[in-house]
Amino acid sequence: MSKGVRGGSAPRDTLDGDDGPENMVALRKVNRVFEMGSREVHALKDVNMTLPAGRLATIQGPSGSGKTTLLNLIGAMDVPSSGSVMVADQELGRLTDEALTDFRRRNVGFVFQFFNLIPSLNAVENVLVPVMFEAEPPLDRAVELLGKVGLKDRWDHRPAQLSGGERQRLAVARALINDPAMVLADEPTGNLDHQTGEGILNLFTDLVREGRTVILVTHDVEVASKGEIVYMLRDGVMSEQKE
Amino acid sequence: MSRRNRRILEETPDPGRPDKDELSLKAYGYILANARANPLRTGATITAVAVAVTFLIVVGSISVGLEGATQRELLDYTLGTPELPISDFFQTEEGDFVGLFATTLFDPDEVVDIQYAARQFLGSAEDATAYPYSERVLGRIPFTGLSYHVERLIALDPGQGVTTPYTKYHTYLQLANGQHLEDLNAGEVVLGNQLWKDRYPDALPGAIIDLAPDGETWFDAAVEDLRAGGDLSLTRLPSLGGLRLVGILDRDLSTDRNAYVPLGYFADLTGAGSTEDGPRSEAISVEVDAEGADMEALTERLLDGTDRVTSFFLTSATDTEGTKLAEALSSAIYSWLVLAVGVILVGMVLGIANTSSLTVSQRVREIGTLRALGLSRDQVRKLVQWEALFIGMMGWVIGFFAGTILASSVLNVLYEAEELGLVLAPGRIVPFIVVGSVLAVIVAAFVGAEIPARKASSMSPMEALSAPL
Repeated sequence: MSKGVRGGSAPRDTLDGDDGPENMVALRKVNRVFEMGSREVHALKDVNMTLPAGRLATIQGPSGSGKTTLLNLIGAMDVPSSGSVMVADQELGRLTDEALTDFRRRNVGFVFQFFNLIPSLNAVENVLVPVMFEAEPPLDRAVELLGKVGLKDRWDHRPAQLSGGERQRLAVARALINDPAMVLADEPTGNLDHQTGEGILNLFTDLVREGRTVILVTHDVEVASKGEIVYMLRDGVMSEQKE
Repeated sequence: MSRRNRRILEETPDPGRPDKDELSLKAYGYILANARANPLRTGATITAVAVAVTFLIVVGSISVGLEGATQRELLDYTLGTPELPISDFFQTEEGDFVGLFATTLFDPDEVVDIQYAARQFLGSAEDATAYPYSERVLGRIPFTGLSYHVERLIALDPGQGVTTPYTKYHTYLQLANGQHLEDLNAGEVVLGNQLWKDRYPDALPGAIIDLAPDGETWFDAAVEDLRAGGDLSLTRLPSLGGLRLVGILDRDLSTDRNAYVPLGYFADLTGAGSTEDGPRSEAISVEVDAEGADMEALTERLLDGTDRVTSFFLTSATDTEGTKLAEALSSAIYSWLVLAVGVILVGMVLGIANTSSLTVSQRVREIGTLRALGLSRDQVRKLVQWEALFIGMMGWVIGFFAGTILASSVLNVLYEAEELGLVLAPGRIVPFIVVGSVLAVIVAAFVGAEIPARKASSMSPMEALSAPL
């Protein structure tokens, strides 16, 4: 059973236990054009993509192929120039900026290549960053998540005191603090050695077992092969989809 | 859970639970942590704000002191106008007073009549008391709660008696609560009534006079000893030349004590105590102790019953040079204060704006991360504003203590430095300066952080995340 999602424009209090949508992501003829001065750059061209909920998907392609742009669209950080981006049955292109933010907070966990941790905060504080404006930040859950990623004994360490793999595990814990239905990771192993990268990929596999949808973006063919579904992107065009 | 992670967990000793009181779990914790992360920049800005607040408090306190002194000067010049006699009522902390001034002397019976008229008007025998002119009213400075008292007779001319010359400014100002406020300057002279009439009838305040041109002998003495019936010990004074005339001294008929009278103001009242028929007064004060009494109506009533009182309103000597000078000085002080506060405010705004701008421009990627993680534009904006406010308030706390200590020292030094001719209140905390400085810091923090906060909140998370590391 896939993890339930929470609405963007009309959020519900809790949907844990809901079946959730059949397809977590459904893209139809999505184009994304960036204006670079007088030049137009077509980052994505008529991309179609359907990803069932509760699966581990990878998007593979060389640098500049549009992977991150696609991830940003799925993660409600950007809207398409044309086409439809449906995530968890929400048409993201129709949401306001405020609703997109709310959608991200409730449904999406991000993991970045360079971890993007706050250097001045320790591990448990970093996990709680997304909920810092809540009246009672869920410390118990943060500790639980640190245990889940194997950092229970390092809760008081700052990012600079952690290894690359530990930082990325910390970033995964942070991505999970809001209990999102979907986790998006942009080159999560790109800055790690092979063995450490394996550990992180195993962590994502664990998340899928919990019913979450995980999308990894990578240029690494070996990492991409870990996906249950592999999408190939070349020059902004979705060229292939393998299961 | 993967085998590897399970193994890590099993091998990990439990370090104990994190204590939420020691963690930066909320937004303000994040702000504190960020401020601590850049100690140099944060420290520099806090120091800059502290210096600004210190300056604000020092400038404000000195200005208030100068303003008070100037107002007093203004009042002295006003009282010194020859347009008197006057009549008006004074409102003080001790009660309300009506001062009546006649062109010829009141005799003691007339004082009783006026008191009776006042009591009749107020409907109570307890509510009004009439006095011949006394230091209680005539030496009081309206609005300030300060009053003149004669403390000590410094010198006397044995040939003329104790009512003649006084070689020092015998008066000091006393707060209504009795706290000593101010000693007046050495080298100044308050003439006894008789000597002033005989030798310096045309002397104006500020005139330089020589008390002993003919080699007369002057002595120092303590009048209290004399009043107490003790021996009067005299000390010969070698020279009494080049003194500045600041007033005259006369006898307060109500208390039989000496009362300081600013020269000019009572120039035509100085016959008190010198008539052939006994003591007389040209001024009467009526003290009213009835809350809410219609003082203006009472004044009218008393004036109606006293034909010889010629004037009703306190006339301000706006045409005198001294008044103009004092007003110009007062205006200059306010202008200086406003200018200084303006410059300090602008400095604080620029300092905080600079720090906030640096913070935002160095944390573009971090802000992008926060936005990606679900923080709204408004929340990002608050983080920038609150950080600026935190730094500003830290600066205020330091500046408040530094400013209070420094202002107190400066004021006390100026207060002691009589030769400067500045008459300042000793250092004290002025509430409106404290409140004003807090408001100034809050305004500076929000204004200074406005543009950086707007910039941070308007960042697209996608673009911010692609900023260089």
